[in-house]
Amino acid sequence: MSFRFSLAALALALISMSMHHVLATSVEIELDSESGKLEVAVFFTPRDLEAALTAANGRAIRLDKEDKLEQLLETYLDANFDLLLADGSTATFLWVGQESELRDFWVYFELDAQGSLKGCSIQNTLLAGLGAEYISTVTMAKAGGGKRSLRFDGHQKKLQLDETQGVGDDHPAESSSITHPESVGAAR
Amino acid sequence: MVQPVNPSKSQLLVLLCLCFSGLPQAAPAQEKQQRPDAFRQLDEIWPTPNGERRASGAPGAAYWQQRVDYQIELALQEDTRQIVGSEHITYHNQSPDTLRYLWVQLENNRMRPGSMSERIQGPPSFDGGMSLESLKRRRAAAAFDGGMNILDVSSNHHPLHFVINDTMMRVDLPAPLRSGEDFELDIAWSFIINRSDEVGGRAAAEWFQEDGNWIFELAHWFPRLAVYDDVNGWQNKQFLGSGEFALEFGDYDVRITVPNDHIVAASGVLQNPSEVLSAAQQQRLAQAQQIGNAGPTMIVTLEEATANESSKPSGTKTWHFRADNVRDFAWASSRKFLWDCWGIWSGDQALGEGHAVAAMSFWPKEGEPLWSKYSTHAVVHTLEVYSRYTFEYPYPTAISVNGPVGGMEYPMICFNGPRPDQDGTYSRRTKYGLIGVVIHEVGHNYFPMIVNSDERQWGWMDEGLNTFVQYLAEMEWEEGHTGRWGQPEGIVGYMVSAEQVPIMTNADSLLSSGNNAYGKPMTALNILRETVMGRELFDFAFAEYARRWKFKHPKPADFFRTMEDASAVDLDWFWHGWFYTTDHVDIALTDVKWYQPGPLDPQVKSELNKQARGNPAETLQHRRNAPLAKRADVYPELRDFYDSYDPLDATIAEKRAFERLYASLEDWEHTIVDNPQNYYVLEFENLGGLVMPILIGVLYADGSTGLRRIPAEIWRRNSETVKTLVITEQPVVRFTLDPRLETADADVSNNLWPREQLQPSRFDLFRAKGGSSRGNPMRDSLQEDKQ
Repeated sequence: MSFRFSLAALALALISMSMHHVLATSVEIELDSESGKLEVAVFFTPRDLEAALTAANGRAIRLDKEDKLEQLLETYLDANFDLLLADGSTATFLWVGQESELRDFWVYFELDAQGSLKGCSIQNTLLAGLGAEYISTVTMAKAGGGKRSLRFDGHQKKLQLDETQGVGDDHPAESSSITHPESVGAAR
Repeated sequence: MVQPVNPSKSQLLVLLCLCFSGLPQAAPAQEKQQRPDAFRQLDEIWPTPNGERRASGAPGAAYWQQRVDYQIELALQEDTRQIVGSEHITYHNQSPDTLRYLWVQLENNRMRPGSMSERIQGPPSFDGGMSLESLKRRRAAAAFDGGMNILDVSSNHHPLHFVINDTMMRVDLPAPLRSGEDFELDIAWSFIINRSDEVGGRAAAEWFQEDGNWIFELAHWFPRLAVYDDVNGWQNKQFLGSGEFALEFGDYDVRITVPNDHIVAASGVLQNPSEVLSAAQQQRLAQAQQIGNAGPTMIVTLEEATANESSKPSGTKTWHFRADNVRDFAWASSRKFLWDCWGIWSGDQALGEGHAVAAMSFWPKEGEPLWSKYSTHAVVHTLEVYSRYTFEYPYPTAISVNGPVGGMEYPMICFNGPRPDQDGTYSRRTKYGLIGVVIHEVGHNYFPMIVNSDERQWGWMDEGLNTFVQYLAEMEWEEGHTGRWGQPEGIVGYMVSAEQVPIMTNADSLLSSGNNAYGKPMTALNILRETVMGRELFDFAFAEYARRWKFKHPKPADFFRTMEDASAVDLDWFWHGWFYTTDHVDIALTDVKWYQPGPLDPQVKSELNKQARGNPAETLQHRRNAPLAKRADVYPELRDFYDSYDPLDATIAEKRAFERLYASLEDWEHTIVDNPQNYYVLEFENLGGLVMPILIGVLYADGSTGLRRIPAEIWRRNSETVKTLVITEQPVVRFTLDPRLETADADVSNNLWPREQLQPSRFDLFRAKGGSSRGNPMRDSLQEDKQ
C-alpha cells in the first residue's frame, strides 16, 4: 500500500478536527441555457474549508484573516471540482465570487459546459485528503420532485451526469396563463 | 328538515351545480387504491401508555426515577495533566425493582487504546495526500494512554466485585438492593487529560506556548451511575463518541484541589470563597451578585489575569462546590482566567417569587475584548428568553467558560470556543458565533440538563429542541439577527439530499448529525409553531412539555403526545413525515381552472354565446363570391323565418321563463345570480412526500393580494393529489403556493400559476447582490483608519 504526499502534506494544520468529524460540502449546480455554462454554488462549513485550504497551501489559513483568500479559493476549487465534457476535455473554470455568512461559506464559479451536459461527468475531490471521512453532495437546481443529488466521497470521485434525472435540461417554465374562464354554464 | 322547492327553482339549482362541478367525473377506478395514509395514527408504533407514562404524554402516577448523590474529592496535577479522585456514591433505588448490580459509566475509556470507539473508526481517505498535522493527530490519538484507571471499588471498606466492559463498569452488589433501599459505595480512580492539540473531545487541556500555561476543561471525569428507568432498564449502551449522555439527578458535593494560583469554575455554588479568593475578589463577587447591577462586574481583571500567567504556584488550594439536583458536574481551571459576574433574579421578584442567579464567565486574555463584552450578556439573555418559553431557571449559577472545547454543555456550566484574532479584531462570524454558542450551550440547561432526555439514544430531543429555543433567543438579541437554520428554506438542501436518515434514528447512527439532530428538528418545530399550530397553541404545548418533564426523563412519545394533548391538534401526520421519514416538502401547483356560472338571463346568455362564437374567418371563396348577384336578393319573396333565425338567439319562451323564475327567487338567490363571482379549481401534487398545509397567495386583477391557508388535513384521503376551490370577487392574475416560504418547499419553481417566474438559484441571488463579502471588516476598517 502506498499513498503520496502532495505539497499539501507539508501543511501544519492549525485547525483542530474531531476524530469523528465527517467533512461535508453541498453543491448546487444549474446549466444556464443562455450562456451554456454550468453555474456552481458550493457550501462549506468554515472549519472544513479552513482545513482544506490549510492543507492545500502548507500554512494555516483563516478565512477571516487571509488577504489572498479569493486567489486561494479559485486555485482550490479549480483543482478539486471539474466538469469533464463528452469529448473528454475539462470545462474551463471561471471564478465568480465567495460569500461568508455566520455559519456558512459559499463559493461561486462557472464551468463552461458549451451548452450541454450530455455525456458529461463531474469529478469532485472537495475536502478529500484531510484525514477524515468526507461527503460532497451535488444537487441539481430546478430538478423538480425526487432526490436529485449525486454523492461523492472517498470511494466515489467521478460520476456521470444522468440526463434522465434532469441534469442539464433547461426545464422551461410551463407556459400557461389565466386569461379566459371556463364558462360551463353558458353551454346549452 | 328539507324545505320543499318549486320545480323551476330545483332545475335552476341543478344547473348551477353542474356549472361548478367543472370537468366530468373520472370513471370509477378499476383497481383498489393503495395510497399511503399520511394521517395514520402513531399509537400503533408508540409505546402503550402505562402507569409511568400516560397517553396524554404526561408522567403517570406510577412514574419513578432513580437518584444518585455524590461526594467527590479530586486533585489536578498540572505538570502531568493527571486527575486523581475518589468519590462516595449514594444510590437510591426508587424503582419498583430489585437490583443485583449497578452499571457505572466510564466515558473516558473511549480514549483508551483499543476501545470500541477506536476500533470501529473507518480509515481516512489517503487519496490526494494527507497533511502532517492530520497524521500527527491520528498517531497521537492511537498512542494516547487515556482512559480511567479504577483504583478501588468498595462499600464500607469491603471491596466490591466489578467488571469493566469498555466504557461501562458493572458493580456487583453484595446483596440484592430492594425497592426503596439505598446503597453506598466508594470508587477511586485516575486518568490523564488529553491535550486539545493532539486528541479532541468534550474535555481537554489547552496549552498556551507563549506564556507556558494551561486551561483545563473537565467533563465526564468521574465514574457515574448509568440511568435505570422504566423504558430501557439499564441504559448501558457503550459511549462511541456521538451519542452523548444519559444521567440521573442527584446532589453533588465536590472538592477540587488545584495549584493555588488557579481560578476554578464549576457546576454549583462555591462554598468556601474565603479560602480560595483574595479579600478584594470576595468583595467584588459579593457586589457583583447583588441584584440590580446594570451589567457584569469583574472579579478577576485583565491585569490580574495577565499577572497570574507569570506566577508560580506555592502550593495547592481546594475549591469546594455544591450542586443540588443536577444530572452531572463539570469544571474548568486555569491561572489565565479573567472572571466576571452579573447577579440577576429568576422569577417574579415583585411577587417575592424566585431566587438570585449568578451569571458568570471565565476566559483567558486571548478572549478579549469579545468575551467581556458579550459572554455574560448572552448568558443572562438566554435565561430570560428560555425561561419565558419553558420554566424559570431553577439553579443558582449559570457559567460560560472559554477554553479548548468549541461548545459543550453541563449543568450550570458550559464550554465555548470562539475567540477574536490576535490583534483584538474579530469577524462578524466570530462575534455571532460566540453569542450563538453561548446561548446554545447555556440553553442546554433546559434541554437536557433539566428536561432530562436520553442523549445516548436520541440526539434531537435535546439538540433539536434547544436549537429551536436558541433561534427564538437569537431573534430577540438584535434586529436583523439571522440563524442558519431558522428559516425553513435553510434546511431544504439537506432534506432533498440522499445522504440522510430519519430524525428518529439512534444518535450514533446519524448521518450529518448537525442537520439531522439540530437543523431539521429545529426547523420542524419552527414550522409547527408558525404555520401548522400558530404561536399561541404551540407555545402553550411546548411549555407544558417542559413543565411536565422538568427534572424527569422524557421519551420521544412523551413529547409528541404532549404537543397534541395540550393543543387539540392531531400532529401524527407531522411527526410521521418529519421525524420518521426522509421525505421532503415539494408541493406543486399543477393546474388551475377558472369557472364562472353561466348567466341565467337568456338575453345575456345569447350575447355571450355570440361573442364566444365570434365571426367566421373570411375565406378566399367568400371574398370572390361576394360580388355575385344572389337570387334571393332579386326575389325577396323567397326569404322566410330561417333567413333571420340565429340559433343562439333567446326565444320568447325562454325570456318569459326567466322572468317567472327570477320573480320567484328569494333575496339570497338574487345575490348569487346577480353576482356570479369567479370559481378557481386549483390542483396540487405532492412530489416530495411530506404532506403540509397548502398556503395560497392570491394576486387579484386590481393589484390587491390575499392569502388562503388550507390545513394539511386536505391530504387526508389522498396524500398525492388534491384539489381545492377558491372563490373570488375579482379575477385572479396569479396564484403563488407558499408565498412566504413557510414550509421548506424544495422546488418553488412549480409553485406559481401562471408559471412565468422561476425562483432565482443561489447562484443568481449571489450575482444579484453584486460581489463577494469580506471576512473581517472590523480589521479592514481599522487599517483604513490608519491610512
